[in-house]
Amino acid sequence: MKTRTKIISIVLLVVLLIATVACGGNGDTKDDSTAKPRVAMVSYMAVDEAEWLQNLVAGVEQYLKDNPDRFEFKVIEATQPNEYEPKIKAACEEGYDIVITTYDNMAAATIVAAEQYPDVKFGTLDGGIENLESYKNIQDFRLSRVETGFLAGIVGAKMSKTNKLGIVAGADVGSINEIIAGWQQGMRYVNNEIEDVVMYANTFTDPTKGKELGLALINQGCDVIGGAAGGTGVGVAQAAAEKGTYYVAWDVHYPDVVPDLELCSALNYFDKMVLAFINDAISDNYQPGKTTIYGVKEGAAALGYLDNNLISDEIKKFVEEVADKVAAGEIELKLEPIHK
Amino acid sequence: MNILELLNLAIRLTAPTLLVAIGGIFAAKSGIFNLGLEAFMLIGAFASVAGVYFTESVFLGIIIGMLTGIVFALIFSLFVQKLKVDPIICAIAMLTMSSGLTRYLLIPFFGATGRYILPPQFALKTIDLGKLASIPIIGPILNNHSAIVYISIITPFIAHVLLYKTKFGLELRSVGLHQEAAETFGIHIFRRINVALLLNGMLCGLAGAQLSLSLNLFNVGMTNGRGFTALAAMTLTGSRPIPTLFACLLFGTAEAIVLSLSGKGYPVQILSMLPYVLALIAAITPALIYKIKHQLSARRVKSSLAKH
Repeated sequence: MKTRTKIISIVLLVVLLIATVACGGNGDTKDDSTAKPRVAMVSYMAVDEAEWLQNLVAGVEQYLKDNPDRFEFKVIEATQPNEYEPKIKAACEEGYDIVITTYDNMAAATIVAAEQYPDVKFGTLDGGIENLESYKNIQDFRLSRVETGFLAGIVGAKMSKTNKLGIVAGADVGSINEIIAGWQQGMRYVNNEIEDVVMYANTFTDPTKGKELGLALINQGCDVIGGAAGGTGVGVAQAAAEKGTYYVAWDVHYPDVVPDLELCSALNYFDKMVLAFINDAISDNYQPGKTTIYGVKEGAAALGYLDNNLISDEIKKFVEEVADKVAAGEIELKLEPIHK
Repeated sequence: MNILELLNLAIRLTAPTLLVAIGGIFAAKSGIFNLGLEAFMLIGAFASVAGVYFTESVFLGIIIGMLTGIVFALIFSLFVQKLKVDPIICAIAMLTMSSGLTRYLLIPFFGATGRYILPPQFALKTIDLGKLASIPIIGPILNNHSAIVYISIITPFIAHVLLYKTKFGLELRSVGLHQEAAETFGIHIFRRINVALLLNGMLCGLAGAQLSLSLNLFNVGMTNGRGFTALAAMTLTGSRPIPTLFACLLFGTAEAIVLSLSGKGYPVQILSMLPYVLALIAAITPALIYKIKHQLSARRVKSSLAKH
């Protein structure tokens, strides 16, 4: 008796669910009359989970406030791997013209959806898709890390007296090595004889280790140290504050740790990058099968200073000149570090 | 970096792991394998930063960190003892919850995402030992640590006395060895295990306070596996406090060596493997020595038998 009631209730529940879904489907008739391109971004984490994602969404929304007729933008959160494929497909089914997916964990799902919906333009943010050139409706795009690294290296080298610089890097992986490559080339652009030390922390969340590594760098005679290591980098900043050493930050400013020692920060603007991609895609500049890198030129990456910084106007002007050269493609930057 | 500086660094790196390991030992001796040491540590780290933020006193911050550790340990105890949840499952739940909860609470408490940095005047002060620092070898190694580091060094000895020299320790160990037998002796099992878990939570909270307040900041996931290292250290030594001290020192020294070797061009993958390789060697060597000894004596017996 008991099991029967259970079965009946489960059946009823399923019927109810199907009915709801079906009704929802019927209600949402596709509206092809609007000329506005519709853009969906399927994010692998919840928007309020990460700062970069919040900034991205806020930036795009601000842009749409100023240019309301440009496109329509929607963020779809798919936090579980088993949600990737259905949510990407749902976005295509809903009639979005451009679907953006995030990072390489969505690569497989993106490929499946791209084959099923050949008319939808897909964009993958640092998607890491193999044989990208074989897909006719996937374009990969990502931030340039090497350019701001290069500029930061220039500032560091200009401010160093011992001509020895050090950096604590998060991990021995591609995107971080790109930063180091830029940093090393930047300081050698100023002074070819300069020495530099690279330390890998192998973690992005351990400030204790970051601090000890920072102290070790200072111990080895570095008088400008940098931290491209997320939360580990805060520890590096603490080491700089403790010993009174100049600090070069990545991604954020540290006004409450090194207020009078931070030289600059290599900032990223994910919103500018996504906007650059969307604008490319809707203005017939869509390049499927290719990887586009957005950097200083598009405003997606820039060197930022604190309000009361130590950098003289002369150095700032020099950095700006170099940044213009980088944006114009006059300086060719290698993506592999000179040494690890 | 000379050897004394290296050992000084090793002591500093050992302290949080050691406290957590001793906490784990209390739980293990009462018969509960607490996999979630990392969780209590992370919560302690967060709570002590929150405590300093609201009370503006470092001392009260540490106390609040410890109290929060105790509260969560008692929740753990409630689930494991009263509701009969498997300790491993409950520990995994604790681990997931601690990382999510601390990440979430950063927003309502401090209005920050990912990390919160306290003003520098709330940093945990290091203590200069003064004249004691001039003792050769030991002086430079033990000088300039925070108070919690000194507490952590004496904790294994206190734990040893508590576990092996007092009635409470005897009762606790008997509960861990055989619950029914202990019960027939009129030992209140629930209370004994509660006290053990309470000590566990308190020490984990203290370790978390050392981790976060020595840097005066909280960062999401800042324990970075130290709880599991502590688990390895205590398992390695069969949950005995004083050998655990040396096991933790081994891990700490290995980490210090790694730190002093980084930036010299060695591959980072090999460097980050080093502490674990050392631990593996440390775990295998005694067993190996024992086996060789056993075989040698067996051969001796055989040859003496053959003579007759």
